[in-house]
Amino acid sequence: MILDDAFTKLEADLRRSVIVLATLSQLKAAQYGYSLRQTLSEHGMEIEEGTLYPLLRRLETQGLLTSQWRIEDGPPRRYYTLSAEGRRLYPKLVKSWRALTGVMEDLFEEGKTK
Amino acid sequence: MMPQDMIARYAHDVARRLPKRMRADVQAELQALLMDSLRQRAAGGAPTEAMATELLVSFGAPREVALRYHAPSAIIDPVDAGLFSKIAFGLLIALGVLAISMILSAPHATQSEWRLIAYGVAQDYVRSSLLVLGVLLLVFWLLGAVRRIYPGLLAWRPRSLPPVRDPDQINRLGAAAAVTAWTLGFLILMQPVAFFDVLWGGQTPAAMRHSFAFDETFSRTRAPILWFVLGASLLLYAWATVEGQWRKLTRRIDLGLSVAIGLVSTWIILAGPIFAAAPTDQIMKFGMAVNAGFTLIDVWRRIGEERSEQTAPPMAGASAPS
Repeated sequence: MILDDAFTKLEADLRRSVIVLATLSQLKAAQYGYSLRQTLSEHGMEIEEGTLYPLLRRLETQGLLTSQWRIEDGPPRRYYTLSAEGRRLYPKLVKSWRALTGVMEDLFEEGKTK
Repeated sequence: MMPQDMIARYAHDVARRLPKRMRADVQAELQALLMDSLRQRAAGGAPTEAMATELLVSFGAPREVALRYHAPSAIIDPVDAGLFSKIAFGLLIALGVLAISMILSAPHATQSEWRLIAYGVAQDYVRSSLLVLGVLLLVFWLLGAVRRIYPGLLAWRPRSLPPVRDPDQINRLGAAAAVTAWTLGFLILMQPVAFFDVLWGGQTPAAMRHSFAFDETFSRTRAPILWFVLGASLLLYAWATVEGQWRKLTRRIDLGLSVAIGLVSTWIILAGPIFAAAPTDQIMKFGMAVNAGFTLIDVWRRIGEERSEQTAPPMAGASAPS
């Protein structure tokens, strides 16, 4: 039971650290919150609505996203897309992420031999 | 309630907790997003109240969701929370000691008069505690605000690190001066009139002699015990000064003597008059009560330190206590 709780918490921490990058990865084209969540979910990245929607706002406040209200196939919705700054930052973050996963793979391999 | 109404109320409840500039926008967006989710749950059918309830519960309490949208700055910065608690707790304890000392030293003829005094002091304690906490809160709020507005002003620098001191080490010069001052104070306390005689060349005014004359019963029965514990504590401190450090044994004896001073002082205050004159008696009792209170609090703190010391790893370069 304790092990399960620890796993749930640690896994949530891991996911939390990649939510921003996952979100930015899908916003080269404009999406609204619900459709973005669906897209991420289809790729296996489940993010709670209560976490994702406020995150979009925070990323916009930080200047990484821009947004506008649009009416496309249904009621008015707020669409988000990468801002100029977001477009500059995203490849750098991807590069860092790949370097980090490489380091982690090395660590896992080294851990196996010890 | 209609599911649409539930969603609208929920979005409003979240938005009203946000700054005005973002309320309308967040409310409209949240409502639209939740309606999308609700339609998906209904899978082409009509959404029900149960579906809306399930959706909103999974989304979270409005106050928690509002916090995710906008985290207001804390009244007390988390980095200051420990210091705030420590100072607030210390001040409340200090005020408590003063209040109890006032009650114990207040002259009273009857038990009901004493109860009345205690009630009045307790009311003053509550008022002054709230005032102190309010002022402290304001100070810490200002500290946090200054830190946010001028981040460089209170920036941490390595040179502001406090030195690591060995609590058992004694500064011989300072301790010798303290022992001398305490010895002088102890002698004055034992023989106040004799001290005034030395001061005034034997011409101490009669009113002063009367004011500082000990109560006979106190002199005969309780004073010797008080002088004994105070004298023993002074001797121990003098011995530790000569040694230049506290050892485990001397520290333990000092702790025991501190407990004795606290308890003996409390007993003496409650047992009867110390001085024959009422005003001097009241002042002396107040002083003794304050001293006893802080001594006992210090004992409690030191016991805590002794306990944590037993589980602490040895410090680099530290010698084992003997």
